[in-house]
Amino acid sequence: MDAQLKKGVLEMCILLQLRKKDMYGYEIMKIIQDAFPEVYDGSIYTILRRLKSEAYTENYMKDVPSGGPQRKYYHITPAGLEYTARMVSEWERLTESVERMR
Amino acid sequence: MRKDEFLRELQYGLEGRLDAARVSALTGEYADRFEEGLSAGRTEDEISAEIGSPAKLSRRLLEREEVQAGTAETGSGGTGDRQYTDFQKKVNRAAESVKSRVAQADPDVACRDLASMGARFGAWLIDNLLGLAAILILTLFLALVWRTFGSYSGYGDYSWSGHGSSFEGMMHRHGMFQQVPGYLKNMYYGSVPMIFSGIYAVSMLVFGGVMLFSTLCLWLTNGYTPGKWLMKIRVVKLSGGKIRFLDALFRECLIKGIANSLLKGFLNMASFVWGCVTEDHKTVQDLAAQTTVVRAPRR
Amino acid sequence: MRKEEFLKELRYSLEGRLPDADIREITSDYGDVFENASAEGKSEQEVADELGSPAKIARTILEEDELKKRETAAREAEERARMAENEARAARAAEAEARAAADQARDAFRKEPAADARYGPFAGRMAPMGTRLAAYLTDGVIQIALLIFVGLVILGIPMLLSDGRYGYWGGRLTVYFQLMTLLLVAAVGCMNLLTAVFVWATNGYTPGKWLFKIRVVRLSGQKITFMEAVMREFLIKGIASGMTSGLLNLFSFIWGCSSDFNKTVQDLVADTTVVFDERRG
Repeated sequence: MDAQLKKGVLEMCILLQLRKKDMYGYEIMKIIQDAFPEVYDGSIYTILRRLKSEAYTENYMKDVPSGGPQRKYYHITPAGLEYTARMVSEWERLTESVERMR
Repeated sequence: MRKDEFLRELQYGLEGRLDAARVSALTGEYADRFEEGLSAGRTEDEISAEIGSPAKLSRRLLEREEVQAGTAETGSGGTGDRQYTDFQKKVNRAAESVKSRVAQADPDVACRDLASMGARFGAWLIDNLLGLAAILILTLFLALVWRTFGSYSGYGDYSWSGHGSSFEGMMHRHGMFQQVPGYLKNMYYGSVPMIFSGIYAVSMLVFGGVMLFSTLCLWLTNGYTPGKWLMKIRVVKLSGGKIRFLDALFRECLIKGIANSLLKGFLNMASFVWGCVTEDHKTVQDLAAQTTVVRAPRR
Repeated sequence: MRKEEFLKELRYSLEGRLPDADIREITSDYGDVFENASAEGKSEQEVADELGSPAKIARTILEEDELKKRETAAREAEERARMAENEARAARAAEAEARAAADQARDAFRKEPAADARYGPFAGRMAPMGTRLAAYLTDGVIQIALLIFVGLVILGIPMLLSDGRYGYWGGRLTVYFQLMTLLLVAAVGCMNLLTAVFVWATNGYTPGKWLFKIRVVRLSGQKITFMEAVMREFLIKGIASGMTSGLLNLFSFIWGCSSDFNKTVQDLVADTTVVFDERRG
């Protein structure tokens, strides 16, 4: 699979997860790992970094229930929601076209 | 880290900036180092810890290659907006190229977690202050003992006339001695010159004593002295072995000691400044004894 | 690889190529991965194997950064072209104003630090040379007082012990004066070294500068490193000045009055300047 395509898909998946609820880095990593086992773990944080720099997500710190240092949580912004909606509609159009050709 | 991890990190660090042949040649060198170490009975973890960080190593190797190819990198990133005149820019560039050619960092040393020159200076200061304190306490103790047990019974008087041909003797014979004010007597041949000679002697004792003490410390604790332990740094041999007594003696007494006395401490100061300038922080004693000083956080 | 090794490799691969704050953030993010994984019972080696090569991660990050920089650079170039047009128009209109303001500035120059564009981020904050001189002299007075105090202590203790009894040291007068000079020179040398340590430890202050509410800052905004403090105070102001009998200090001050950023010789060497301390207004 094309690296760029995979990156776009991962971005969309991460944003979709964050749309459901706020999550911390490791949580996101595990979910993506379950869904795409062949994806390289190290690249997930680069995607998160890019999303934050484009202001599609923002961070806040929250206390850990079991004690220990605070966790960094990711939260999707309104701009992020908009971006996700756009990506999802593009994805639907893409899959429709591919299905038609099969 | 394991051998394969180390070589992989090294490769990623060099790829893209050097041609494939050179990359595999350099990686091969370090693979050989691992083989040698393994056949000598050391573990992959130990060997990788001795060589240091592969990321730092790859950077130093790249620098060395680039300098040799005549295309030295000018400085690292992160510079702010500075308004330099053209002349200043030219001077900066010249200084950088001289620095990269002359102060070429030894990759072997520079990729370790080196101690900062400030910490090394601090450790030196602490060791010498401790030596000074020890000598002062000893001197005070001896002085008190002298006061209690020594006697000056015939001294306070100065009325005997057996002083020979000296100026003082003459003053005595003519009965003028008692009229010289006390503070002048003291300044000329009283306790004051003794104090200054004493300070000189004390500083020699301190430096000498600290050197011998450091030698013993480095040998017995394999790299620590009280000052270095407090600043959380330690001396290690580049080849990775234990510090033997002769190594420590060579480093502390011969080099630091001789350098101090021969050139009135100038060599020591110059070597410290040189250490500040270069990236591998090599001073005269490091060069001679093939050691370096690294960070040693207490776990 | 252990967690520490992994994070160190990551940091070293990024150092100098990314801002320090970003590097710290990335390192802490990956550190959290190790923490969370170990809470689930995974070993550090397992996590490291899963995450892969830190050098590769660093490269990916830098590539992305590079890409973004190129995009923003292209955008900024457009903006700048547009702004240049507007500026040219505004500049012509403001020329007459500038001429009037220049006359005013000449009178105000002696009283205020020059709020000049060439001082960049330090505009309006430059410490005047007069204040720097005053701080320097105050430091000198403090140093002399300290030397006298230390000298008295050194002389005092043995005096108390010797109880005023005389010893015979006839003919050692020259030795006494030699040692006195040696001590004085050593003390003066030490003072400059101590000043260097002080400047490094407090990041730009000396007692005199603190009293006059000015401080030494690096032009790049970073902390003053030990080597720079030593070069500035000890090597230049101390030794180099000593070797030229203080002429270097005098020349350096005059040079500073007329140079960019009021840079004296020691400022040139250490790339610093002296500004008003913002915290004490």
